[in-house]
Amino acid sequence: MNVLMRLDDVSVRFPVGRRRSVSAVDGVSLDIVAGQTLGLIGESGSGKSTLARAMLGLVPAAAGSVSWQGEEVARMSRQRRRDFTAEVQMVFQDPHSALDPRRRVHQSVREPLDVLGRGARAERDDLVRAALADVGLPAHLHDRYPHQLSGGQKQRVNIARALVTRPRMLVCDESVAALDVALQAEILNLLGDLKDEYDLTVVFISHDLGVVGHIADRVAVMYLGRLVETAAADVLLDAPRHPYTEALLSARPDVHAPGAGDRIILRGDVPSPLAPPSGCRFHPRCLHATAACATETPVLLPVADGGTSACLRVAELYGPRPADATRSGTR
Amino acid sequence: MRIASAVASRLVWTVPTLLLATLVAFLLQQLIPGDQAVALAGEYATDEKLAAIRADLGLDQPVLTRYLDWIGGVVTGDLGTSYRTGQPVTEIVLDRLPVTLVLTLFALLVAIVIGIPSGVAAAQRPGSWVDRLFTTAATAGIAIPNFWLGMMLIAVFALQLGWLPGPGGVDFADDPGNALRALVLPAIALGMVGSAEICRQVRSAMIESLGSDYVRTLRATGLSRWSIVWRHALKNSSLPLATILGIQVSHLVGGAVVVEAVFGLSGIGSLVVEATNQRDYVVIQAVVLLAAVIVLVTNLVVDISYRLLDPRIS
Amino acid sequence: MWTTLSKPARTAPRTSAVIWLSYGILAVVAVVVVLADVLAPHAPNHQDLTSVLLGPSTEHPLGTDDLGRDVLSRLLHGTRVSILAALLAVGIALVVGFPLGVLAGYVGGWPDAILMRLLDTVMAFPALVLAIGITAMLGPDITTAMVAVGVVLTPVVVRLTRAQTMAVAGQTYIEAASSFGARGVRRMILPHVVPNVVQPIVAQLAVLMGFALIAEASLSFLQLGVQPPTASWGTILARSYTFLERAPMSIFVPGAAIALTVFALNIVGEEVQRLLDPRRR
Ligand SMILES: Nc1ncnc2c1ncn2[C@@H]1O[C@H](COP(=O)(O)OP(=O)(O)O)[C@@H](O)[C@H]1O
Ligand SMILES: [Mg+2]
Repeated sequence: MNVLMRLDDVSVRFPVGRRRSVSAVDGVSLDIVAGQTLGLIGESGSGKSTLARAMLGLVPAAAGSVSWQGEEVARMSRQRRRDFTAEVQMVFQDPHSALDPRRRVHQSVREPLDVLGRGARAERDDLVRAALADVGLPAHLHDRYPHQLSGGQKQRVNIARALVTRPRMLVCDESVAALDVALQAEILNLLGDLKDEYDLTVVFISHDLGVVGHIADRVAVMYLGRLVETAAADVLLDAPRHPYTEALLSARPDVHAPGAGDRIILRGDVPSPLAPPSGCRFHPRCLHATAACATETPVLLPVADGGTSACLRVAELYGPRPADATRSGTR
Repeated sequence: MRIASAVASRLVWTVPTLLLATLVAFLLQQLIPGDQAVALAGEYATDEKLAAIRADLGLDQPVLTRYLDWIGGVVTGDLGTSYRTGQPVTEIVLDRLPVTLVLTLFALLVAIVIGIPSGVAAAQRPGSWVDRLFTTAATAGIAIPNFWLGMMLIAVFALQLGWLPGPGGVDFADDPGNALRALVLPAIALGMVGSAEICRQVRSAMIESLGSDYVRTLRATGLSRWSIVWRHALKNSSLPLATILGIQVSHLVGGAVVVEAVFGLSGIGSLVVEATNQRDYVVIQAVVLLAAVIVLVTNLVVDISYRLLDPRIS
Repeated sequence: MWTTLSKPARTAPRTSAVIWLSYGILAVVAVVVVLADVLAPHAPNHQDLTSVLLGPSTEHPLGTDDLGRDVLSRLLHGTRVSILAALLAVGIALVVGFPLGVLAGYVGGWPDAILMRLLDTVMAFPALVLAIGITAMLGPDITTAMVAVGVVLTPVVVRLTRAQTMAVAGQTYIEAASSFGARGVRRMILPHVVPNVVQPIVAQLAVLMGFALIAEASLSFLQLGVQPPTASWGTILARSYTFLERAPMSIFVPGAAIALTVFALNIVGEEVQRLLDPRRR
């Protein structure tokens, strides 16, 4: 397995007021394997967008490091950093506000090439046309302004802009959440096709397990800035090994077949990340919490089927850990 | 305790701003082109007088030293000496201040008495003909230069009808009654723009307030419309009102300069014009600083009293 | 007189007659500014002491003043002088205030805090008093007067621009641009920030112009701006005021010219703002 990007114990903090700070991402370690689609899920406010920003180097990591093909991004030279920028691109949640209202579609899509200073103007225009064709935006729309396009068309433009530099990794932050359901499927299919065509590694962020389970190879679950579980997508959907994942799964509207009665409802709101609960951050809302959960901080440890889980009672609740529980496999 | 902290928090803002304002007023003198001593004393001053001025102002000292020297005087009430009349500037200014203060106060009254009811009336039905009439009138009111309005008032009410005194102020000490009558037209001229501004701002604050859940709840309780509008909705939008009054004072003090000139009133406005014509820079500086102090202090007072009166703000 | 720009009041729907009237007034003013020489029947400063204070006639449509000068010609030339002076003041405020506002809004942090503090201080001075103070120190003439008005208007422009820039800086398209490496003046500020900030500021220009026109008239009226015999709205009014008792109507036309122009500017400014309001789309 070829690890493209490695997050090592990454924390991101934002200053709030004078002396306090909110830790939006707290000690996340994660490997992104070339060619895979990694799903990242969690409720709103769990730090997914912040983690995505950290991946692109848009926010500095307060602790830990992000490495790209073995090289730490924060220590890259200017030139390497430019290459990195071209190789990792992002598609934002709201297709409308991600496009500058005063630039025409083709100008917006060409801009990454302009900034990187790639090739002659005519070559750039060719690349722009090709990228827009790849995302299926008809040529007569290339001269339009964003407000003249529909939501789906705008998101295609955003995707084209992210692909025009021929990146190796694409981070999609809730890229379909703002669209209606029919369009969601359309854009998801498009992303699937483009992944093959452009040979992409994808990080797909969503708060919707249904969407993620559908397209991801692996899934990482975040809660209040921390990872609580990682697993292969089918394993996670089938046999979650963390109470939070279980709760997310049962909250899905399409899951009510057998035993609709044991649906787990997440009690209360997500606590403020300004004052996260002690011990396991999920314990105030957890059905299985014990006294120990409020004091002891669980770490991500390997579980069966190549996954990891950060639950103190994982063995009790979901069966024993694999025999060869070495720390090397915890990523 | 609450009072103390409200006062303290405003002082923390006002005191540094006041200090900076003294710096701005002081630095104004640095704008005078050429030799400051010559500028201050006039072209025909003797060498001894120039030397005296240089020594007095410490013109050979660095700017910072001079500023500290000057500000030391200012905080003890010594604004320097006029090089035109030889009088202490503080005396000159205090002599002229009451007229301006009374005029500004009258104008503020005019602005409030016309502005608030018309704003409230316009807000009753946004878009109705009453609303259109008042907002268009307010836009026109803002566009009319106060000194032109003053001239027109003089032409009609003093010259044609002879109801009120025309230009040329009356000394308070001589004849208080006529002195006040002489302030009626200037106060209207000065306050009219303010009333238009207040009308617009009260209108939008009231529209917001009348649309709030709070007022809708009151309606449901069957309270009379009059009491809802005047007791509750207006009070509910009183934060913008306090802000508006703070801004108005600044506008009125500025406008007083021209209105005083039109009506020949001897306030600090006409003082600064006279001082400019005589190049009495020390007096100009003092008036400019005083105007800022008046604005800052009234804003401080409005703000603190507002915090004391309204329990919602802490 | 000094309109508050910081908090535009919620505007009422205007009848279209008022709006078209305003466009018409501004069109007339524009034509007069360009063609004052052609339109004026006489030279503005030509005195004819044999015909002073005449009433309207075909020779002098608005009569003559106390020096026998043609009032209409003076008004037409004065319009040009007043408008150009106000444009100068607004231009100065824009050239200084716009970049500062963008910088303060985009960079934030302590440079922003210091700048805002300074502007708060400048704004604590009543606008006209500070303008007089600056003019008086520099030596009264029209250029220094308009520089002074420009200085007084600058904080208003900075605040407007800064608020707008802060709103734009929080937009996703700014983050998107930085995600592919756009930064600095050439790649971020000029292509993304400035175009999105400019438009709402342009809508405020009309209001700023109105402010500057009244300031010019006030300062010139006080003899601190345009100097006689040059005609401007302020100097014409100041002169007519001296013979108010003999010819009371002579103050009417120049004052009405100011009031109508400023009125039209405010109406058009509001209308432009309403048209640009994104909530309308
Ligand atoms: N720029 C910022 N400044 C301060 N706090 C922030 C900032 N960005 C995000 N946060 C906080 O960090 C937490 C995680 O936010 P985010 O990463 O946007 O979560 P998600 O994308 O999962 O909804 C939230 O509590 C949010 O308020
Ligand atoms: Mg998010």
